[in-house]
Amino acid sequence: MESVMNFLQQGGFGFYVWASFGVTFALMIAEVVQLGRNRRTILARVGRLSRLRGQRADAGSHRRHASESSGGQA
Amino acid sequence: MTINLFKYAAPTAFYPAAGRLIPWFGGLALILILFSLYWGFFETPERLGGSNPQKEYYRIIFIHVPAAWMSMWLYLVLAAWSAIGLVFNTRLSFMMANAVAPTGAIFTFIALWTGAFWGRPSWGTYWDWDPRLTSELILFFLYIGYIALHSAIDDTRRADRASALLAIVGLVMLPIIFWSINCPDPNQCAALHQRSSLSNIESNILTAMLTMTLGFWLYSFATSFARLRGIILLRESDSGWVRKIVEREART
Amino acid sequence: MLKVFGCILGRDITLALRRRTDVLTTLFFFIIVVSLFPLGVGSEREMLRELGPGVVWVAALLASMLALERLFAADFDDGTLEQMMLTGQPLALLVLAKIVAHWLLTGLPLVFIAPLVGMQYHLSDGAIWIMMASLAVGTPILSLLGAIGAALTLGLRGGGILLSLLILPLYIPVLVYGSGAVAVSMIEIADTQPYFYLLGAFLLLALLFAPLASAAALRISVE
Repeated sequence: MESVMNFLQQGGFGFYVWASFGVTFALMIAEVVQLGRNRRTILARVGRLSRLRGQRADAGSHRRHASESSGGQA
Repeated sequence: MTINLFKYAAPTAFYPAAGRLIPWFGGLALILILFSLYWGFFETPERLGGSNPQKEYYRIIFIHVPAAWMSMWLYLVLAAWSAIGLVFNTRLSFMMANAVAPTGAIFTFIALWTGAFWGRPSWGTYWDWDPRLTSELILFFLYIGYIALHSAIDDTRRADRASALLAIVGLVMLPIIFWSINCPDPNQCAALHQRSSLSNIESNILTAMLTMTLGFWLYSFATSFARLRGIILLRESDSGWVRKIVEREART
Repeated sequence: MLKVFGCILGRDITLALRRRTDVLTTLFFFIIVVSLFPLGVGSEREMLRELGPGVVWVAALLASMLALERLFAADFDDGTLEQMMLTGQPLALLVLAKIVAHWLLTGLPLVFIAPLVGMQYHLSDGAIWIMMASLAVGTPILSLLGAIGAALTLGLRGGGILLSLLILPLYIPVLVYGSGAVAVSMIEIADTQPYFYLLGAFLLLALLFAPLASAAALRISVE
């Protein structure tokens, strides 16, 4: 227990040491978390876009089929 | 056996390759950083000897110096990719430069922050207009300028090229700026920072510092690759292969 | 080539002299910034004498920044800039002419107004001469470097603020040695010559590279 306290105190300079190390790793972890979130939003956005485009393409092909078949009947 | 590196200049080939590499870079970075933390806190002396003895607070060196090194190195990388992009007109280079910038800015901030917390116990002040501290601040401004210019331009092509040119101008100016800060009076020069003395530093301290540098370096690889993958997805969202990837990712 | 240079130079100056308020705004901005400092920090002679060189140079930086936004904007808006790029003349030369015109209209007036400002800050006659000389050598560098930023931010929303963010860090060497020369000139034994050598070297380098970089930036922005 005492050794842990000693370690945390860093010879009385604990505040400076832990403020430096803490902020550094907090920032790095925040960057990683932000990247993960960023990736999910991008995937969702691109997915939405491509589904939208896919629907439009499907609709277009349906129409083309329809016109072709109607053309065949005439 | 030769691997054609140019193959990876195409986003199509780079995207999956980067995806495979990220866990390796990230994992190794984590191991190295943890090792360095252990070594730095438990295997090093409690005091920094030599001409300028310092107590436990000197341990900030284990993140301060590596972060400062990375901040400068990443700016170099940023400018190099920008130059390659402008010369060879390759899209991926600009994206690479873009992906590196935020990580570089973060390391610059870390170097400034830890510098302040090291300065308080050793110089008696959080901020001093010490040449290297000031230079780091200017570097931070350059990163911010690059990011700000890129995000201010809507047209991707113009944004890429304009910010690349800015990065190169910044790189050319950097030595002049640093030198002018270092030596405001050409008749005589003085600095608060002592000259770097890597050679006569205690070997355990050096070990911890160098492993941390390596860890930070791999970490920057991992984060910029991850960011790059995002940029690729956004910019290539029209193409078929991106759509396939998105479908696959959505299923898992 | 010289004829083209003269032509653009003459044109820009004529245009600016038709709208004199633009030139005067910059000048008065400079005077106002410099006059605000004694109100903010107090008017003790000794302190003002120490602050003077730095304040004047920071004000010069900001004033030259203020005018930069207009350097290419008008020509860009009415399409003149595109015409200039289509002529067979080297774009860097045309840009240099515009920069020189810009300096004559915004930098040079600062040199002549400097004695007035020097008196506000109780500088000695010798220091005032040094200040005029350093402004004369230093402000062209500001215009040259600033042109790169002006070209990069051409036509952007909020371009002015962005421009200052990009360019002010690059102004630091000029600030350091410009104000350093004035500060040192107040000490009897000190020598200001090295400062002027350095500023001169910066000016030559900027003359060489800044027009090329601005031309490249303009191509990127306009294409």
